[in-house]
Amino acid sequence: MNIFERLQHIDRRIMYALLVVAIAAPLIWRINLPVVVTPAVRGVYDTFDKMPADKIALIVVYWGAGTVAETGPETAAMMRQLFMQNKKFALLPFDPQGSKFATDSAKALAKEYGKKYGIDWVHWGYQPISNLVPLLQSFPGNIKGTFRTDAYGTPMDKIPMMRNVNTLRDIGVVADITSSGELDTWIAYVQATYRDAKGRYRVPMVYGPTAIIAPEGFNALDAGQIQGMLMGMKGAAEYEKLLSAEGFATRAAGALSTSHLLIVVLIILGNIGYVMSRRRGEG
Amino acid sequence: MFTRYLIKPGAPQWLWVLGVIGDFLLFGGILFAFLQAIPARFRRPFIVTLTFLAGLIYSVEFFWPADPKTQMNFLTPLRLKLGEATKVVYAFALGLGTYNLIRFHGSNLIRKRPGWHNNLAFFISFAAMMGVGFWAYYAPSSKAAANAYNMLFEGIVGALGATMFSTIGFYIVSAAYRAFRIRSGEATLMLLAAFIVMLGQVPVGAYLTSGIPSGGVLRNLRLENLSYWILSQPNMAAQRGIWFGIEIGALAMALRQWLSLERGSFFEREL
Amino acid sequence: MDHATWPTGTLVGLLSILILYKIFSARMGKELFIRKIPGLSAIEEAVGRATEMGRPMVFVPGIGGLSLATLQALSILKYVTSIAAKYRTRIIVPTIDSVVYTVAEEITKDAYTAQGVPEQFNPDDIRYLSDDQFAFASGVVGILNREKAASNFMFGLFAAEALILAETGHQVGAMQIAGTPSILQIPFFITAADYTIIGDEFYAASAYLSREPTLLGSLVGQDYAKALIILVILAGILTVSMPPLHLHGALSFLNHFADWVNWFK
Repeated sequence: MNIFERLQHIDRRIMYALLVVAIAAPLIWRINLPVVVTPAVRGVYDTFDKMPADKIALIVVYWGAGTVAETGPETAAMMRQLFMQNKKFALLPFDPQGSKFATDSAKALAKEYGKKYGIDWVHWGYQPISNLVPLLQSFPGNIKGTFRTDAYGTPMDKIPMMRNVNTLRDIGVVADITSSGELDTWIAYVQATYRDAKGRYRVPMVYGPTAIIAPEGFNALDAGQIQGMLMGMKGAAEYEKLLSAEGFATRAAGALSTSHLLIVVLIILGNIGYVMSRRRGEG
Repeated sequence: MFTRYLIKPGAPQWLWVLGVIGDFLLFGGILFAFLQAIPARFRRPFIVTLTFLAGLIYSVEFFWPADPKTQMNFLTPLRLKLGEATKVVYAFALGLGTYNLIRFHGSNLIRKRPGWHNNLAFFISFAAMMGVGFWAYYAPSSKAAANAYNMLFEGIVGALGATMFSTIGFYIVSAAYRAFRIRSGEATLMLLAAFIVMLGQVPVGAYLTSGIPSGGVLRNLRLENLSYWILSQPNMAAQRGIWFGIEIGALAMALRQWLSLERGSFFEREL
Repeated sequence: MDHATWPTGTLVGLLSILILYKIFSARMGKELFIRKIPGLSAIEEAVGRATEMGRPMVFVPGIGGLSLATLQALSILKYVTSIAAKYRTRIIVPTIDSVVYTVAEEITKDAYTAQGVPEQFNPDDIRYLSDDQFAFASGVVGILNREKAASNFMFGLFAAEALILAETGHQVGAMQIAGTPSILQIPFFITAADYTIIGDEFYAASAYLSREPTLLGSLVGQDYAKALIILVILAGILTVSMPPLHLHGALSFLNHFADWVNWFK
């Protein structure tokens, strides 16, 4: 086998070993590269920024341990902005692992910013995903009737920040952070259809998917159904830059860069081998 | 259905569960007996009529204008109840899946087929998770139960799920290396688009084209802007196009199923 | 959307009428053409490959419950199993959902019985693995590796585990045919599988494989429906792109012509 044929058939174990080095090395020896903020991420920041202080944000958490590296920083960055701007939020998890991760994150950030549970943030309790559609049909018109207690069993009426939160109109932003694509369900059942005595209310929505499912979000972004989107870990790094608060995403952005570069280099090598082999064959 | 009238409110939960199971058995039995009793040539028309009526509930409920205040029409309560009934049917099916697992792994274990230790591992894990799960549920204040549950669920199940998810990163490398070859004009175009998006989606892309001005027309040549354009324009248009096709296909299939026009699979079985 | 708005109801109604009209006219005996779909044509080749190699096939009907996409996948399973039964080739069907497992078991048993070889049906080859996505994926990976599958069919709804299954199939040397309406997984199948069925080709599979007039008519109806949507989109683009009209008299109603696109909001 000549060099060009070898280049076309690099042992995948070598590629995997190189990938491990490409990811691990920048985590140990930090690489600082510029992070450029995209319009989609700017949209997330601006949406929370413009949210009236008398409303709360709803952070929907539907991700697990598998995607914690991407969706964890996204969730943390959103909570950070809300705490920084003295705005309140509720957590609504549909995954038990995501619930724990998000709660731990909220507690750590609350401690950092001197915020208190029940006054600045609340946990509405884990809901099984099979209950999503019935929940979306009932909670917009009657939040306290749907979520009678928080995650710790405290009646909603007894929680200070929930006193004036009764319907979807009291929610300023819905943030859907997910590793599965159920954004369409939220748009269809909540954003596009909610109507009460005061008329139609299209709650602003932002989206925090993993990078794999992010391309699907551009449909909703372009249609104006969502006002902003984070694209996985890189989106979270851009968001952290906007908040001037370095988190895991910023630190790991270097690892992201080297791993993508490695893939590009391997593809180029494979193509060099392919083209040269073809030329030799034709010659 | 009869359970509501036979069992008084406040009765123990197990009585309600028995009552619901009894309702299902009663109506299931009546339906089964009816199907057996009617002549064979009437069975298919009966099933077709039943299917049509069941689908009609959902169709009419969707198209009938709803009261703007309640967002409900006269069929919405029935649809919601049917949705709950479907969940109960699914719960019964879970028992079937568990039976299949036990039968398959049990027969391999009993016959000591090659790899029987994996089947033993299944039973140990199944028993452990079930036991600890029930323990944590019925003793919510027990710290030992909570710790055991966390160790198994988050420490093992969660970690294993994250590990499997992480293998995708490795597989992407080998799949991309193998697939992106300059075999044709379209393949070359796809390769270029992949390079732009891969590099534009990470900080190194911005670094590589940092020499290009960030204002004016030339800014469109910066990798992060090119990448964003590809994702937000051609990618979005292509996805929308595919979506239209998929959803129309799904509509057609749903119509065929509802009106019993579907052919193939077991839709033409003798009843 | 909980209930149809006027635009939705009108559009769905029109599309349904188109599809049903073509179904019924096809049943009247009209000959209809369907273009070649390479992935579906290769199914028989994949089964033949497994037969020659003496290795089993694996058919993964996706990770959805008993949804439309899974029903379509199961109808393809029936076709694949019929050929497998004819060639006496083993087929393993791992499922993630208990209800899908029961339906898959019935389908494969029927297929073997229809081919006159009910004794070839092995109930242990239809397996419920787990309802957890990655537990299911690791189970399928184990099956592909242990059984050294010669052919791997992946039809139905898939999520992140799509690449895991496809790449494992490639590593064991299986011929792979994949089809999914999950748009985001299509790129992964294209890179790792030999044939990929994209978008509504997936829903056309049952028509393509059976050539049943009803199903072919439905396919033509779908194409008409797509043409209608394209016309609506073009009309929308034209009306919002044109400059404002300032007509008077009897034609003044046309000044608000561009507003018709707002009816869809």
